[in-house]
Order: sequence, then structure tokens, then C-alpha cells
Amino acid sequence: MLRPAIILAVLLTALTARAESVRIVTAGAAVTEIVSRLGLAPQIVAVDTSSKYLEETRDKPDVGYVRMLGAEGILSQKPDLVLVSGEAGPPPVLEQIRAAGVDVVVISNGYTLDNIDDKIRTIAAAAGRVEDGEKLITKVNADLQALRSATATNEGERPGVVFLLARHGGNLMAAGTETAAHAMIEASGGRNVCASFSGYQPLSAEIFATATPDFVIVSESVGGDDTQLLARVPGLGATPAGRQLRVIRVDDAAFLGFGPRTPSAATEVALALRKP
Amino acid sequence: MNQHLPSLVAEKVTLSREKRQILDGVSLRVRPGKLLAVIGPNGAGKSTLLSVMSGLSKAGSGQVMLNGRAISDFRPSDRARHCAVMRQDNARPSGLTVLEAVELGRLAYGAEDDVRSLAWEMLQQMDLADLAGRDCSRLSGGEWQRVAFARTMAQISGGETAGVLLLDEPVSSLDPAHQHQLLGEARRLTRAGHGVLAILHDLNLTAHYADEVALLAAGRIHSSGPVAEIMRPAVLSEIYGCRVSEIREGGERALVSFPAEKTR
Amino acid sequence: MNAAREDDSLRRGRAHRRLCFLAALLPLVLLIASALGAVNIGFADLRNLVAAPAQVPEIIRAVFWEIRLPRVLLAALVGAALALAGAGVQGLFRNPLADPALIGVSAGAAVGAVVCFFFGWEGLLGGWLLPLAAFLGGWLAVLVLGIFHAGFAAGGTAKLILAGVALNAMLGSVLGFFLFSASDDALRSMTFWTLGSCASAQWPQVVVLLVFLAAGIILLWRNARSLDALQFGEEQAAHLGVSVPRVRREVIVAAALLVGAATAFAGTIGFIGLVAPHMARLLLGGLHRLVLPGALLLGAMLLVLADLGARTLVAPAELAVGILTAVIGGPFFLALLCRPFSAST
Repeated sequence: MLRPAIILAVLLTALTARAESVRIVTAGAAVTEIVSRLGLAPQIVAVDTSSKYLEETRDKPDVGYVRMLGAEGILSQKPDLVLVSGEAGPPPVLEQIRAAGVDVVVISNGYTLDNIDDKIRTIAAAAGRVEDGEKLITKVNADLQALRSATATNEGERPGVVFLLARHGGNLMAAGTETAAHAMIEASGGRNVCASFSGYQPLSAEIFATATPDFVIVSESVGGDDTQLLARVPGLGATPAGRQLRVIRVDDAAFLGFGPRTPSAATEVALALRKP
Repeated sequence: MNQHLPSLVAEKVTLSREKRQILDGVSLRVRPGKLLAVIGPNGAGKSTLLSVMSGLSKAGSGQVMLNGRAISDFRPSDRARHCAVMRQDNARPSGLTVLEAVELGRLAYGAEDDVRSLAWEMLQQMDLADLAGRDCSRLSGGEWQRVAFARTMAQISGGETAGVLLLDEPVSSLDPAHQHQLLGEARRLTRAGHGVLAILHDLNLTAHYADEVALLAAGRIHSSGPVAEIMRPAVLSEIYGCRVSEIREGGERALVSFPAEKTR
Repeated sequence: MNAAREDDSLRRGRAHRRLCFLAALLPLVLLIASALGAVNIGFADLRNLVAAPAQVPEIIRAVFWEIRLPRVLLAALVGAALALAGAGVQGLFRNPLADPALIGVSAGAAVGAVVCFFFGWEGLLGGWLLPLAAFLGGWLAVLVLGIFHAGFAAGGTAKLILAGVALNAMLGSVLGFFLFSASDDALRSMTFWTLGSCASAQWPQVVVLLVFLAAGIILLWRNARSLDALQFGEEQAAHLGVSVPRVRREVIVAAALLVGAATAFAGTIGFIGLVAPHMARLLLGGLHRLVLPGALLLGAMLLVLADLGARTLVAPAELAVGILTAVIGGPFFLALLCRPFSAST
């Protein structure tokens, strides 16, 4: 349903050769990252809260949480172009922004590395930076190639991995299927030991009775050293990952964002998984 | 004045709750122009009887007829136009003034023009006009009881036909002067053709104001009839389990009670 | 006697004047709220929006007519609906602390919405699945309560309240389950939803809510005198001619319609349903023919003001309106609690 609309929007925006002073509002970390990689950071006039971690957009006005945007707030930034990721909403708000005569381009996201180039291409076309887009795609494709060679060698005996997500309040959750983390574990050549459930689930010691991870992946923003981390999860200490203190720290914005930095983040993890 | 005479009749009403017999074959008649007092010890079933006769509780067997029709066949608003009830557990609403509370007596009549003047009339009759603007929650217990009575009068007055009033211990919170005032008004209503049933505890007031008395004990009518026949010191002493004596002064007769005689 | 009559007519006159004042204040509040927002619309443009639309930039016109005005009106309708439901439920339960939430409609709606977020369905049906799920969730909860209540041998309102407490607890744990197992993103959406927002206001929603509000007004207004009588207690009210079961049914249906629809479009917004009726009672006295319209007007104004704060305080971002209702309503309520404004003095 959305596809033709996006393509139409892309074509329209591509046809109207954009002046340098295009004002852009972005929402969604991966979208913002691509836009700023295309050299458009100075033209971003406001971003959503999840994009504030980027150096280039740290001081831009904040239009709020990506799923709870306000139409008038965004319009008050006088944007010519609004680039949002697929989860942006609520839907009526996007409709209202369109109704006010502003181009809104939704960049669909999925938990796959295969469409990063699509995202870049869509954004580049919308922003009138097709050439820069192709350059970025070339780099992403090179990173993907590196990832493939990093994972090619140990096919067949994939190490077991558990991804731990720190929630607000500090309790840790394990990533099941249908999560960004699951897709990234697979892409990095690992095997998610928590494939028996979907979504993020709170940890119980019993998970590790049947699932024996060789590695733990956790965000680098989680405090404490590896020993402290393992001590927080009952049962984890007895697994191979726990006994050998095999904890991989990742920049979760890069690792889980499915943006331009994601392939290289995956390559790093893939290399770490190959260590004995 | 009356097209037809109001009547409320209980016929062999029986009611038990959780295997306990509360009412056992009670028959009672509220007659137009008469004040019927129901007396009896605590737990005799007086309030339950009133609840059944007002149509709010269903009798286990037997029936209650209002103006010749089973009371359960009435819609609440129809019933309320023929039978006004003043309960003991009347909640005192905050936010309503005394006048507004009395006006609510006319709820069942729908939109009327003269509700306010009727309510004022009732308040004047009960000497409550000065309290008209007072919030009900700021009344004393006695004042509230008089307001509730004024509301009950408003509910039954002013119509073409006379009705029935059921009063559950209407003077329990009142000082002697106001007890006489309220029961005097109740008797005045009987003169206008209304039938009144009042549950009373004060034997003296009962003897003075009632036309008829029904003595209820352990869910049964012990005896009923004219005051002079029923309210004999010997019977009352036995029923209540305390000593009741009669005092005569001038032409008046009064009943007084004393503590039960201790066995020596 | 004459003095008392004079007092009485003075008091009634004052209550009516206050109600008229509130009725006149609402358009003013609506006007102020539609003049202010993240996009700065100058006074000249505001005047020209009606007088000479052609002179106003198109974007300003779009912002005003398609974004701001429907949002202000939706906030007014949501506030009115919540306050009206609160007034009805408080009257029915004869309990000043009663809240429409007591009959389970808010918790049911929350479960409906949270299920939507949990499965990532909130954008389906053009965004209408979320309000639909919330509304149905609320109704399902009230229906379950009604079935249980009908099953009680001797019901009465006290048992209804207790059943509502139990139902709320059960729905609370269903809610807790989804919150606990939700992904971080879904969890945030759920949290935002339970704090309320009028951000997705559009004209169709305004129209839909207006219909529900009208239905609620009709149902409650025809029971206004019965609700007055209920203040004497249910049995005494029955003696006065009130059909208590019918009143109970109609008031609960009205509250479920009002809260269900309001919550469906704006999430759960607390405080207004509880406090607006109180404010109305303090200003106007306890008669429901005054309390109901008074609560409606006060609820509308409170939420319009709270939403004005929600969309301007941290612009261009949004605050959840539920955070602001208490901040704006609380001090106002405390001021009213002080004697001088009380209707009965």
C-alpha cells in the first residue's frame, strides 16, 4: 500500500530540483544518520528524540518521540521536507503535515541489512542528493561484503548468542525472534539461543537451562564491568559465555539501527564471535 | 374531595431470609383517615414489614395490595404518587438545600409549576422555613428528620386523591415538642383522608396519636385494634419484657415504662 | 419567611449566573487556545482567517483549520465527556471519590490499546484501529461488569463498586502482562498512550466524539432529577418514584459511551472526570441539572488549557496532556475548596 505512495513522493521530490536551502525535519535514528551522512546535517532543522545521540544533531530542536509526533510542532520549524522512519506516527499527524503542503517521506524499516541501500536511495532522492547517495551505497555495499567474508568461514557451527537489552529501570531483557537484535545476531554469524520466544522477555534462570550461550552481546551503555553484568543475570554465570566472560559490547544505535554504520558494526561482532 | 379512598393492605405476608422467618402471616390494613401505629420490640420485623408493604421487598408468600391492585404491578413513579415512604436510613445529601430536598418529594409527578410553593408550604408547616437555604449535610439529626417528613408530606399532598404514608420511626431523633409537632401533622393528614402507618417506639405518643395499633412480635401480629384495647400495661409488659404502667392525670392517660423487675 | 424566600431566590439566581458565566467563558478559552500554538499566527492573520482567507498564507490556513482547530475542539469534547461521565458516576455511586474508571471502562480501553501497540497494529485502518480497539476494550469491560452484576442475587450499587474494583484489578494484571512483555518501543507507545494526548485530532474524530457526547448528554440529562433523588439513598429514591435499576443502567451506559469514546481518541486522561464535577458542585450546588452542564463546561475548559500547555510548553515537541491536567486543575480546585466560592454559603 505504502510503496506506490513513497515512490510517487520520491519521484515528485526528485523532479523538483531542490535548492540548497531545503529545510529538513527527520525522525528515526537511522533516517537522521543517513541524512547527515549525505552531508545534509546543516539543513536539518529539527530531529526526534531518538536522533539526539548524533554529534551533528545534538543541538537541534527536538520534535519529541518518533511515535508521538505533533503536527503543529513540526510545521512550526517551517520544513520543506519531513523524513521519517516507518514507526513514526501517529498516522493522522503525518497526514496533517502532508495536508499543510509539506512533503512527508516515510522510509520503511525492516529487520534486514538488504534494504539499507533502498533507504539511502529513497532519502537521497527525496533530498536531491542522488550522487552522494550512490557513494554512500557503494561504501555500505563494501561493508556488507566485508561482513560476508567475516561470517563465511564459520558456517555450520554457529556460536550461541544471547542479546541483553537494558530497559529503563535497569532490568535486563533477552531478545527473542522478531527483534532487531535477533536479525543482527543471525547476520553476524551467530545463533540466537532465545529463539523459543518472540520479542523481548524478562530473564529467568531457567532460560539458560536449555539455552547455552557462548557469547553475550550487550549495549556499551550498560554500566558495570563484565563480571558485574554477568552477576546480574541469574543462571548466566554457569553457561559457557559466563564461565569464560565472553561479553561483546556494541554501540546499539549502530548495531540495531539498520543504518549506514550497521554492516561494519555487524562485522565487528562477527569477528568477535570467531574468537575461541 | 376523594375520588376513591386510599388503602394499603397486607394479606398473610410471609418472608424468610437465610432460613430465618422474619414475617409470618402478617395481615394489616392501612385505612383512609386513620393513623395505624405498628409497635413491637427490636427485631420483631417492623422495618421489614414496612419494606414489603412499600413494594420494595417481595413477600415470600401472601400479597400487598395498594388501592386494590398488587403493589408489585405498579411502576415506581405510579407507586410513589399513591404511597409515600419515610425511611429510617435516609441519607443526608450534601450539596442539596433543604428546599431542594423537599422539592424532590414531587419527583414522581414530572414537571409541575407549583412545586416550589408547595415545598415552601410544607416547610412552613414544619417550622423549617428559616432553614430553607441550608445544606442538608449541615442539619442536625432532628432537623433532618423533620425535613424528610416535610418531603414525605410534599410527595403525597397537593393531589386530587389522598394517599398512604409509611413512616419508619419518624420521631426517633426529635425532642418532645417536635415529636408532638410531627405526629400532629401526621394526624392532620389523616383528617384530609390520607392513611398513615407509623412505626413507633414511644408508647405514650402511640397511645396519644394512633387510631389503631398493631403489636408485632417475632414476625407475627400479636394483636391489633383500637388503642384502648391493645395497649394494656399487662400485655405490653409481657411483650417488651419490662414493666409498663398507666398514669392518669386529669382526663389524659399516659404509659410509662420502668426497668424490668429484677428477680430477687 | 420572606427573608428566607429572598435568600433562596438570590442563591438560585447566583447559581444560574455562575453557570451562564462558565458558558460564556468556554468560547473565550477556545478562542485563546486556537490563537496560540507552536506555529505563530499573528493577530492580523487570525482576523483574516475568517474575514479575508485569501490574504493568509496557505500554510497558516492549513495549520489553523486542519490542525489546531480540530485539536482544540477535540480537547474540549474529550474534557466535556470525561467530566460529564464523572458527574454521572459520582451521582450514581453517591461517592465524591467515584471516578468513571471505577466501572472498568478506562482499564478495558487501556487493554484494547495496549494490545494494539503490542502487536504493532496502531497504524492499521488508517489509524482508526487503535481508537476502535480501545473503545471495544472499554465496552467489553463494562459488559462483563454488567453480566456479573446481573448475576448477583441482591445486587445494589455497593456490590457493583466492589465488582468494579475486582475487574479493574484483573484488567490491571492483563495490562501489566503486556507492559512487561512489550518491546521497548511498544512500551514507550503504551506509556505515552496512558498519559493521554490530543495530538491525532482530525475533523472526523471531532464529529464522531460529538455524536457520542450528544448521546451521553441525552442519557444523563433525562436522569438528572433521579440522580438528585438517589442522594437520599437508593431505597428512599425508589420510594420517591425512581426506577433505580434503570437509572443505574442508563448512567453506566452513558459513562461507558463518553469515557470509551474520549479514551479511544485521546488515551487515558485522569483527574478531569474526578475533579470537574466537584468544581461544578462547589460553584453551583448539588442539583444535577446544574452540575451536569457545569461539569461539562469546566471539563472542556480544563482539558483545552491542559492541551494548550501540552502543545506549547516544550514545542516543537509534545508533552503528554495527562501530566498537565492535574498541574492546571489542582490549584484551581484547591482555591475552590476555600469557603468564599462555595455555592451553599
